[in-house]
Amino acid sequence: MKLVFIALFTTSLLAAPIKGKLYAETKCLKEDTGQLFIAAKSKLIYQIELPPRGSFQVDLPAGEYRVSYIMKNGCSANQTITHKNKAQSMGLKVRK
Amino acid sequence: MKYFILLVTLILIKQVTFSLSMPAPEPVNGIRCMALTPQCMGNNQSTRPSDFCYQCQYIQQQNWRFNMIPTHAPWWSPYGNYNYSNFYRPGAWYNHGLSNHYYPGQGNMVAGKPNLYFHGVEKDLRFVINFNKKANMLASAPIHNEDGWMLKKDRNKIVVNGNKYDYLYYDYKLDSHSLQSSRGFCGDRHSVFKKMVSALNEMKFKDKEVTDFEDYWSVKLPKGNFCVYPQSHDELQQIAQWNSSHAPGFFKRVLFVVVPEAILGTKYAANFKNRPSQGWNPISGVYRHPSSTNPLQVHEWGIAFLTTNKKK
Repeated sequence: MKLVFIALFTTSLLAAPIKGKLYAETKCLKEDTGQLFIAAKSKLIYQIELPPRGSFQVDLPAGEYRVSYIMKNGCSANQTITHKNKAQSMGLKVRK
Repeated sequence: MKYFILLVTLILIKQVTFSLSMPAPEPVNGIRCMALTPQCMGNNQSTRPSDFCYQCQYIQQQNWRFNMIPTHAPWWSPYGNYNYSNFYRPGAWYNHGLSNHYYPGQGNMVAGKPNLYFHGVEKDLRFVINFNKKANMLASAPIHNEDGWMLKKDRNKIVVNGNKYDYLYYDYKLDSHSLQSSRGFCGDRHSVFKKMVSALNEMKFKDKEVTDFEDYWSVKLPKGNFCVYPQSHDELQQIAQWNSSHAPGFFKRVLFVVVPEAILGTKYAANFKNRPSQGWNPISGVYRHPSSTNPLQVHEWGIAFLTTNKKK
């Protein structure tokens, strides 16, 4: 019973940060902001408003995540990231 | 009877063959579509969920908004609705709360989207959030380093690392037991949403700040009846402590703790055992340093939900 509790407790603490940065091409900069979506399959974990060259950080457990960014002017970016309980960085190219 | 079944089967086969041989309709103006509209459906080659259809998002589809508070339809809601099964929830949601799996940490509650607005930044400002032992940062934008955010002045925006932001954003995990659980209000989703907006207005949050709240939470507040226990700076400073290189002369801070009414008194509701016995005065969330002449103002709003261990 104790082991199960420890295992559950440890699992809930196992997470590591993903640090991300958006790199938007110049023509995307006419809009001030867009929406960043971080999802595990179709399950949305975070939705964050960000400028097209903004940065973000999320703490997530190991798994595969889809990171998408959309702007009202049609610029967007998509990337899938495999996360392994170890801090990592990612860059997203925002294009029209 | 046998001949009738045979006839129906033949008709169905013919219809399926016909529909398979039909060319897929082209998307509007040749643009790739992601929306469930007649214009966008059926183009298997060019329709991918990751492609955003800029025309489609403005096509009126009342059904898409079935779960939203009326009158609010942010431009990004059709995209989110199409791509994410839990889009009309504040995050990964199971039963009565957010998933501990996706929002890790010791606490039993997630503070979702506290937005921090700054006004009157006249010189560079270092702003740091320090958490107590049972709380931890889950997300931030821009990145909140160990030494926090360094803000520079700009006319209407906040500048961090050369990028302009309307506000700073962070999510955090916290323990609910030090929060007040006697003052607040209850009602269905629409009613508590209105009361929260009304509280922000009474606290004199700026129009843009209230609109940001309405745009996001009109979409993300789950269905059901809730009790809301607003927390102000006095409670929150013990959990997520603000520290800045110079103190604001004026600030307001509120975190609406939203608890499903159905779980009050159960083990899932933690210290929220009863409906609020008193009202909450929004002015209690507004502070002024009497001796300060600093024009710096900090405004923060957020919503928090309990977490659950259930993982599907």
